[in-house]
Amino acid sequence: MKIQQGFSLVQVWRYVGLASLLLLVTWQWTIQIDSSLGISALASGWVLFGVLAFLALFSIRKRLPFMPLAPSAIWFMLHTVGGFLALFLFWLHTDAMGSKGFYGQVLTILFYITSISGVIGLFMEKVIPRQLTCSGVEIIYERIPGEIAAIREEVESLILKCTEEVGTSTLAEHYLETLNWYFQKPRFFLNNVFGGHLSQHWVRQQCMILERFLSEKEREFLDKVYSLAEKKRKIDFHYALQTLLKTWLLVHIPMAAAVTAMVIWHLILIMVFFV
Amino acid sequence: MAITTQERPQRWDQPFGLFMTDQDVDRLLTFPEISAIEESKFPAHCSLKGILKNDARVIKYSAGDIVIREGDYGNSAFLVLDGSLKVVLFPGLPGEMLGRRTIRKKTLWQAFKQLWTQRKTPEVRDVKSQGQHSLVRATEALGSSQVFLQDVPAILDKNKTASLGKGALFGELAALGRTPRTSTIFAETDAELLEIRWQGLREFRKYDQGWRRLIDQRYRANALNAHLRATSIFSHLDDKDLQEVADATLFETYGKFDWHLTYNKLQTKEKTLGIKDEPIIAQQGDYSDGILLVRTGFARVSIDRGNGQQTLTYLGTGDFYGADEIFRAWQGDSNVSLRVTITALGYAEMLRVPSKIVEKHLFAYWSSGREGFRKGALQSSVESRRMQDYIDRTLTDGALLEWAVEERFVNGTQAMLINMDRCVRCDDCVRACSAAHDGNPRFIRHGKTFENWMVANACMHCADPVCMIGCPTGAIHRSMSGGMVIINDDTCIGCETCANSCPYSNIRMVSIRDDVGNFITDPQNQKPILKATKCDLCADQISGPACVFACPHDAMRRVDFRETELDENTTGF
Amino acid sequence: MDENKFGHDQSQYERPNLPYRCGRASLWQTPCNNGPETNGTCGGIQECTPFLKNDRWECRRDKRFGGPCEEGPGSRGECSIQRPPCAPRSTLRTIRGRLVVLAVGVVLALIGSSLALDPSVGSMISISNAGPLSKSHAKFTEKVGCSSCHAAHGTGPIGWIKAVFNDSDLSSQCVNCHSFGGPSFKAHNANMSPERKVADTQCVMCHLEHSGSTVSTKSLTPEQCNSCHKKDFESFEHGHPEFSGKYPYFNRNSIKFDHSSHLNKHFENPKFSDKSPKSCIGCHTITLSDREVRPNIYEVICASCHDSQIKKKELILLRLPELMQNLIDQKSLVQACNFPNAHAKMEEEFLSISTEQPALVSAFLLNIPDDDPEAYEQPLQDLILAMAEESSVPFTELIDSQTETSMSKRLLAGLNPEVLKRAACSWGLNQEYESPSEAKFGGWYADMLEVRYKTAGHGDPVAKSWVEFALAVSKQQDDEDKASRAVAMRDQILSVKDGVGGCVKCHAITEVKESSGGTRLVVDWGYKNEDGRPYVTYKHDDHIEILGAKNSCSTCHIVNKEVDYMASYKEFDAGKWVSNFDPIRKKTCMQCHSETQINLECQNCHKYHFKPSFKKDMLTVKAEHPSSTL
Repeated sequence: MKIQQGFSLVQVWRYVGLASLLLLVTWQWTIQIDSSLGISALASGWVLFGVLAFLALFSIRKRLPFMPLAPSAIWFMLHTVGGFLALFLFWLHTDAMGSKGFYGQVLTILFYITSISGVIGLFMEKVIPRQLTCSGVEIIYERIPGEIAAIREEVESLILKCTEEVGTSTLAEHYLETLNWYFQKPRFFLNNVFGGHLSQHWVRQQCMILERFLSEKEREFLDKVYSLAEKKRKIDFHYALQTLLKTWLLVHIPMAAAVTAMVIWHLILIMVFFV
Repeated sequence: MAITTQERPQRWDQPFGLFMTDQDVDRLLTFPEISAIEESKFPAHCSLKGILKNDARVIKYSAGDIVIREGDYGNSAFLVLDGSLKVVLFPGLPGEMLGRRTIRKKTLWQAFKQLWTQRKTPEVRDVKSQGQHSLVRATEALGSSQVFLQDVPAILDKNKTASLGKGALFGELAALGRTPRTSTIFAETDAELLEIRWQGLREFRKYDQGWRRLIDQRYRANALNAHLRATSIFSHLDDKDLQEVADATLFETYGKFDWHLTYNKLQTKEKTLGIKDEPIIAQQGDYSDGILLVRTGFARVSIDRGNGQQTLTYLGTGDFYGADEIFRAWQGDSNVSLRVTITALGYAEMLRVPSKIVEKHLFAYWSSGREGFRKGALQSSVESRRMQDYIDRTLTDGALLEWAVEERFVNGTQAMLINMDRCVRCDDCVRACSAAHDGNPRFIRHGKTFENWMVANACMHCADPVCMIGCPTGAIHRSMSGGMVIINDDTCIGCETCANSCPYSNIRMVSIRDDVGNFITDPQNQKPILKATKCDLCADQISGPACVFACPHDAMRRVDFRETELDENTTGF
Repeated sequence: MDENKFGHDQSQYERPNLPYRCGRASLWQTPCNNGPETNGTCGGIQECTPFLKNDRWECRRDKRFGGPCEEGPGSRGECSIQRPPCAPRSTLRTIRGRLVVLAVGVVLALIGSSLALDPSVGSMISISNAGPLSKSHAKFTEKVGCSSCHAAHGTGPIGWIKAVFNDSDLSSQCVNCHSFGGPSFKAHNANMSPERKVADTQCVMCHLEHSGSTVSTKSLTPEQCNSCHKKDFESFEHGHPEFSGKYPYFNRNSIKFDHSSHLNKHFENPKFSDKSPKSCIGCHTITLSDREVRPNIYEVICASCHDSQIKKKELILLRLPELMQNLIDQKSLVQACNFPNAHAKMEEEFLSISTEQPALVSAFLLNIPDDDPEAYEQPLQDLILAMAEESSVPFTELIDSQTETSMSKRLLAGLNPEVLKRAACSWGLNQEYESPSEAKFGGWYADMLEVRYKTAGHGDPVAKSWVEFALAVSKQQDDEDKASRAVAMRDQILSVKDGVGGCVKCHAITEVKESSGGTRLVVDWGYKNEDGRPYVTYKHDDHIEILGAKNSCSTCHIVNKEVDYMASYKEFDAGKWVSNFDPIRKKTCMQCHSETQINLECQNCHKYHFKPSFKKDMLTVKAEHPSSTL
């Protein structure tokens, strides 16, 4: 039995095709309404509202994992395709710039923030996992503080042991001056986000500076410290990228909620005052 | 740091019965079944008395106590010393009576209700509803608890039963064959039983003619025919021919019965060398002398490649190998030797059907009629081609399977496999799991990884569920419907046997709390009450495994490695 | 991660569903084993709760967390590993939840404030504001606010709910101020084709608001026109039908101005070279010209040549004709005329002083033949006697008896009764009347044998009245004789040569239908406005501005020399008129209005509404609040 993960090209195109079809039908519909002197914004608005409601349903679906609804993967796929569809429908509905009122402007800005954050999030979700896998370690986000603390403790006990066994404090002093900073918490966040090697370079630099002042015995300790620093570097990398994977939702979801609230009010106003 | 030293663990460091005395042993020797054993045949390091003292124990059962439950996995056999027992015949007792959890799928509304009824505090148990707790009572002899039946006359009334009297031996097939108990046996009157664990039983079979004959005969009589009958190549045989095949079949046992206990202690490095230590069942290049059937356990199929062995696949219960080679040899093809090496993975019991019998009953049939020939040729060619496919596979293609075999993940039928290239670490699976289990996750999204594949710490619902061996109350059991391994929280006494037995650490003990969130402790010693928890494959949920359904990126699958070939999708969606 | 941590006694379930995470961990310190409680308090103050067993305190630390600790419990049973409590932090997910609540809260607060705030204060930041209005609407809705158009505004929740289920008829609010020359909600404000059922129109079909002061609410796209007009086409260049054959000269000119003869003959004539205009704008006023470029007034553009012609043409009201015998009662005459020696010649044989025929006007009034003295002798001499006795009264009576409404006052305006009486006295005595003075500046006068009217100039009211009288009476006679006399009189008065003032030389006479069903002849005294095509617009002004004032007219208006322009005026049917300009064709317009050049949209030339205006009360409101000017 072959297990296929994800969606094949055909399936993806099928979804995209369906979305395009809906867009096309709506577009034709608005043209037809326009030419019979109707208010086409009502048609495109309702379709857009439907699509937005469907997008919002994804959040509800996530709260109901025990219900026999379609797999989340399909929902995500539809959410993605639907998100782009909503963007096009929004353009159809408002001519891209939204209405000129304060309300319309706020709604437009929030809608774009939601859309753009969604696109960025999608991009990250498709790119970052692979990078994380390549790092060679795997760690649960919530365990990173504990892991870093454990590494720090280990490094510190190594330093103490070195001082005790060798009797010199060269390594300890250097540690306190430089590496101690590194082991306190995740460092080089931005550099890690952009896949830089600053972290590795920095640690190596600190060790190289020290190396010629150390005895053979001390060097052994330094090597161990270095390997722990390497371990922490990978965890830092995970921290940086996993933070990205989690924090983009801090923008997307609250904004989406605000958009939803505003859309409902918009709908009420239209129903009361216009239709 | 203080250096801790430990003596090399010896056999019988931990005796089976804690309270067995020499007097008990002497008394046992007066029973005819024991006295018939020739004590002199036993070697010094493993004397009869030693076995009786360390690998056996005398247990007293009160009327109504369940001795063995249908569906349980056990590692011991019982000899009735005194009293009378009842075997419940088909259809058997309902699960609740045995202290099992009945899986009832939730209704749509019940499922939906979980949205607000799931608890915010972890591991809350409803202490007021004792429910099935009353089924559990302490049995002093075991130092633990037992499940008992409450209304024996009614059970006798409603069910067909058979009696077991003094001197009866039962449970030995399940113990040696690692198969589930086929029926429930309970004490009709107060009874005294000798329980012999599988190690002792194995020695009895090895050194005593009488016991071996008894055990083998029982196996041949009860299980072998059914096993052969269920094997596709023998399905055409009539009863008489089948009996002839059965009579000629050889039993072979490879590896250690309790491999899982030592397996976890091995370092990673040793594991990769494991193949060298595995008992060889058949060697590549050797002349094939019969068809090999796996009775229980797993066998690794590998070939020599370079300086090492490449694992091609593995054989599980019901699989067989070798028909193709002997068939070709029988047809006159010279230079037909085994193309692969077969080794036991941990523990394997094999059946070897000798070539002569195969030729007589199988090949003769294959070449007799048109239909038989077609079937035979097809069988042979399919088998050959499949094996050739495995051999032709590149190292990269086979690497995942090899790793899975190495890590014994092949045991699992529902291993949680996560593609870390797709996983965005959102923990939706964990949250879904907890939502489906009253606010408690039942797996951890960590685990061994190979390339981008992670087998997460979730119960794999093994084909050979070693966790179930030794559960004193039968709380952990295999569901009759669906085959998943389930723990009945109500009858779980928190003894950790299962958690310690699971080679994959997929069972976790949790301290339970009351409604308010306080830990529930044992009033006698203030120790927190523990419960064993693990994935139940969302047995009572209508959605199926919530974790898989909740994954927005389709990164997770529950897989059986043998049946699975992972095909990564290139679209990324 | 360290593989050892996969062990069942090495790690616990991660619980991402819980709301708190260890405060120590958030500061990158070692998190405690227990983790925060679900209520957000620290759960890791101590490692275990020791238990008193056989007078000894036993450590209860779980083996997952390292088993019993080395120190063991203190003497009073306290755990030896005590930590100050941490302050657990919220998980990212909880924070996200709060942000959601915050975002929705802010939106709801904005909505709430927009409802609660006075609109005049909060309209700018009102979240419910749909956008700024167009300039004019913005101004006059300033005071009333949204409810000027949105009826549901300010009606409270119940009103809103009702509004959801009812159509909010915005268009009916529009006509509170706007009015039209026809039904407001019919296409083009007219019942174009009553036999076809056409849906009512609504203002919002085309006019949408809230797009700001810079966006016109009036623009119309060809697509919108095409939604009704079945013959749909892309643009003016592509598909617009050819103009009709007469375009744009549909209606007969009220002035018979033959452009052809004037331009080619008279203006070229050196005799008039000082008077003739140099170009079209010599006569036509182009400033502020709209669809029509009107000619200037008579006095400015015609009088210099035509004024003298008008004064020459007089009306003869009465002429003493040839008589056979004197039938006037001399006694009465003498009494009337107050003659001292009147009877002297009475016995002489009568010899008529006049050999003329009676005037056609008086012949008609008295209904007498003008060629048979025996027939007209008696009534005419009776009239003269009556004139001598009562001056103009007999005429007044005669004239008024001809028409339903009295016209005598206008017809005989300025007639001196004394002159008339004296003339009658003279004629009664069969003598010529000697006028003491001639009417130099026009007006009534009697001379020799006639009572005449001399036209004072262009627009003379008496002359106009006589023309109208002649037209009026010529149509309503039952008696055949009288009818022929009326026609004879009419022909004389309307005659270009002899008619009084020669009005109809230039003024057209048109036969118009009357409401009663009959027809009536009307003189087109005034300049007739083009009012038959309310849906078309054309701005001469703009075109002239671009093409230049001098010769631009002939770009489109080309004189047709072949056409007999004047011929059509001989008949009274205005429909048979032919302009002496060539009709304008589409290609003329397309010289400029083509794809690549100038706007081709329908609205350029066609108007949708019929006589759009404002309602009176709306205008009064404007007057009362002069501050809010449009």
